[in-house]
Amino acid sequence: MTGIRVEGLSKTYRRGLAGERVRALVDVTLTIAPGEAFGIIGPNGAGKTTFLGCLLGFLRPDAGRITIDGRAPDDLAVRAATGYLPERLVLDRWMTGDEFLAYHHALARLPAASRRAEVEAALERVGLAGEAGGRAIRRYSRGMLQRLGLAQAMLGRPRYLFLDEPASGVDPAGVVLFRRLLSELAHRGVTVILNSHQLDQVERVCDRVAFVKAGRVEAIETVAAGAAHARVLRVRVVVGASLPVTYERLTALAGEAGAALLDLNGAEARFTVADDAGAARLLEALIRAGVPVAEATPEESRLERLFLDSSPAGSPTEPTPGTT
Amino acid sequence: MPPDEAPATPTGSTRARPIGLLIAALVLLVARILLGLYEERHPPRLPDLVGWQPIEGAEARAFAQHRAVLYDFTAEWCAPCQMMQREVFADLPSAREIEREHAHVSSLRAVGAKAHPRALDAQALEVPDRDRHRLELGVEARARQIARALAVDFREERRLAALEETDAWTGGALERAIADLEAQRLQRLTELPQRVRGRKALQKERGVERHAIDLAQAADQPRERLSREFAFPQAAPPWRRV
Amino acid sequence: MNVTLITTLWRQRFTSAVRMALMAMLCGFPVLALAFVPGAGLSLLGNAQGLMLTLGAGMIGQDVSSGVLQLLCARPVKRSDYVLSRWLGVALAGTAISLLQLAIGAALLTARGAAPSAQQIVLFGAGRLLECGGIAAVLALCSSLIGGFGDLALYLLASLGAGILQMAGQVKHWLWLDRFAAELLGSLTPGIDLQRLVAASPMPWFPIVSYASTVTLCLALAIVMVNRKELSYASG
Repeated sequence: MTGIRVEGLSKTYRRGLAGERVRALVDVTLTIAPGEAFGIIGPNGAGKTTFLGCLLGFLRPDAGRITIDGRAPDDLAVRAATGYLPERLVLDRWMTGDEFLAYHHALARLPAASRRAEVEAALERVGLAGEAGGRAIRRYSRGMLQRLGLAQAMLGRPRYLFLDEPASGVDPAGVVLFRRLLSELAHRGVTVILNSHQLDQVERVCDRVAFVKAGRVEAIETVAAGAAHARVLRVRVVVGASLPVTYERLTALAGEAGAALLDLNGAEARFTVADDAGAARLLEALIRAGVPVAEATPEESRLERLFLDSSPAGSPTEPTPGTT
Repeated sequence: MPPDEAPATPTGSTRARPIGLLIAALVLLVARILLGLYEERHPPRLPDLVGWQPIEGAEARAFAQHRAVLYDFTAEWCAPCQMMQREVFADLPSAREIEREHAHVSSLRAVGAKAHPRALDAQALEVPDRDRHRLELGVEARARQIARALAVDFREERRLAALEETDAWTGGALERAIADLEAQRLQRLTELPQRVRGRKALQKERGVERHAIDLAQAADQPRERLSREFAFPQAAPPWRRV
Repeated sequence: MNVTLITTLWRQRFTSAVRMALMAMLCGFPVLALAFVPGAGLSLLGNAQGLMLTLGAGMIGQDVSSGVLQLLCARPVKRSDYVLSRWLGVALAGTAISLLQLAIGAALLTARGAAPSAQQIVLFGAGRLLECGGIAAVLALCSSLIGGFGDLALYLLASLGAGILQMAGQVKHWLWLDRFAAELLGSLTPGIDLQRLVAASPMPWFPIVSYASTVTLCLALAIVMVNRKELSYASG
């Protein structure tokens, strides 16, 4: 297993008969190590789906090279080790859930002897155990479809799992289930490539995240390194209790902890902290001073900031392992 | 089961070109074109199971047996004729049936690309005079048809009918009558103002008239080959008897 | 050739109420006609064109336009295997129905005293088999070119076009056009007239080569077209 290597990938579409050329991907270069959970985020139309399409061998790049485990993406061996959950999930509506999974099990050249057992196990894993397996897919709800799609993607324990908006249309219970499954997979060493708009999910599951905008990879962030970034911390105190500290007292406390108070609105105070350690120190100082801290949340996640940042030069980038 | 131990891991691209199939398709296409061209030059002989007989003695046989004579006018390019050839004459039971029903069967085939059964050249047939006039039947029938189409006056039609009854056709009287009629007709046409009758109708009639004139001329000169002007741009084909 | 794909195709076709109803009508009426006019023999069963168009419509195009093909191509399945499996599935299904039709027809004819000879039955069955395979190949090509059920439209348009060309050739006496159009029209319903083949001597090779050429060419082109397809809604 050598992971996924993308070098100088470019893809241009010709939109419509008039032939207006749309540069969907421009010179994308990155490497995904085996066993890594890699997230792809970006605004709509940034080229994420195109990128996934190229990685899966559905689209042929105009320039550049992609290798998965040293082979071309549309190689049969790579296909056998890949699971894919597309964004616009279309399943064969006339089949039942069981039949569909059995069909894909057979297509993936998995042994027939274990088919029934594995299909049932897959359905159970995504929460579709019971009569849902025998129901025709045309009668599935959106959430059920998505779950079935994930079950199909995970058949045969693929080494590479490509998920395009896996949790769209799924109820909150399902979202939690998905997150759990993905984390399990990531821990088992499956390389997960996750394309999602749900930034909190991406942050929780992925090791690294690529921010794609207008066909280019603007930034590749390591999630773990988020710990070392400055942020705005919003601290909410218990409402109704007499506020034991004033603006000045809070400022002083913040200064001691190496943070700075931005403003104070009623029950909510906003501080800037340098990193996770700074945040911990600030909270400790506040609580020791008797401030009834109810909740402390970052105002914007780091990933959200990537979206709001219009200048690519300003966004914090970390050198990532393995990138050329 | 860990994927590394999956049996018979396939290799090769999902988009692998079907080289064998492509080569086979190309080879077969070339073969098809070549064979097709060859067949154009040497058309396959369809088994013709009807025992066609030479034209002599057809009439005698017909009278003796009180049964009809079948003349098959056919040509290579005539699609219905070919269908008849394939489906009726090549089918043994049908062929036998045909032979049983008729006293005499003869097939006359036009050779050449654009021949048309309306044109007959008795000369090329080299048949005795008595039979020739039977074959000119077609020409005369057509002439009568045209004459009828042209005749606007029923008196003229009656004159034609009278001519028929007198069986004077061998003398060329019919053709002369048609020629007379034609002259009168043309005169009438030139006298009528053009805008009364549609231009196209006029042209069509002129076309028909031209045919009549040609036929009349040809009938007057039975030994001459029918000329190019007879509506077809190439020489009339030789008729060949089977 | 992928057995899973073939069996799945059969299941899909035979569980579709619309297709089954259409096929029942298309195959049922000629068989009924046999019962009333036994003298006409097996030829009353006609050709397999209607049946194959019903069975094969959208065999590739529908998968492409509905998006189902994308998931399929994420599996270790060769695209050429996919095309060939669809072709074979449709052809075999058509043959099976044709043979069923033949069996019922022969039984009816026998009951009415006009039993067809063994040679006739075999030749008819074999001819139908070839025809089903041929039309399925042509439809596969049409289906790989246009999505949804557009392959039907393409097929009918091609037939119409070839017919018009042939008429033009006959009217204008351009034998080459007539012949070319006749070949084209014949290619749209590829088949071998086995009765003529068997009866003629020496055996004409042209019909066999022509048929094989049409089938291989259609399948090869269909595979090339599917290989080239970019299966991503982002590109649409």
